[in-house]
Amino acid sequence: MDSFSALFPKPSFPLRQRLSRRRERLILYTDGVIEARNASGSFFEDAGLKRFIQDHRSLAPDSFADALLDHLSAWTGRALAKPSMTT
Amino acid sequence: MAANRFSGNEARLRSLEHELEIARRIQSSILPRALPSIRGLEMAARYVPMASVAGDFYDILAPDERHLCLLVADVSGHGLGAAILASMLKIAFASQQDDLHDPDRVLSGMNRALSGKLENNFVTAACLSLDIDTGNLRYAAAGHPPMFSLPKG
Repeated sequence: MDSFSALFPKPSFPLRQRLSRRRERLILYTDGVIEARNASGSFFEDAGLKRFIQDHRSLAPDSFADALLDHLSAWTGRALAKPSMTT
Repeated sequence: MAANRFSGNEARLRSLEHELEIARRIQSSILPRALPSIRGLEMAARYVPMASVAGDFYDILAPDERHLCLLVADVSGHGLGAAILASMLKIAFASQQDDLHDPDRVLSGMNRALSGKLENNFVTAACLSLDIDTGNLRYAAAGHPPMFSLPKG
């Protein structure tokens, strides 16, 4: 799988397709989430995000997003910048 | 001599701060101001730069009330350069109006538009399209972390 780059003018971007389920939750993110480090240098990783999602699946989207930021702030041990919100 | 050097450093610092302020303005101006209203769909988005100006970017296009196309991307680097590249991404994404139902075509179209213009930078991206009426969900990624999906609790 390629990223955009001047080196690969015609890369392929594999497509996945399926029917969405009713009452399904989708979470998209950038690597800032999974690469957040705690005081001992450990990354939050996919596993940390997956655990968080499972544990907070009952929250509404806005509350879920805010809770994840609070959790990452606690994980990294530092206050995050004020988020830009799109609602 | 020392006073001149101090003055020179201060001027460079002011120039850097000015550049970062421009980058922050570019960055905040290209993020969507509102999420589209699509029946049966709840959405939330948060953007928190880990550096003072990051290269992350997202955008959502809804060509009508039943279709949605969402892009999440990460430009390499930080600062003014990353902010400018992110603004190029926004334009490239907006130019894919005819293919918003087809994420791999969206990414391919964006890649064609950006190829050769990123110099030594690169971009990872994920694109998702959803047809609310049929439930057809399509997803393509260009070097981007995978999307999570699960039944809502």
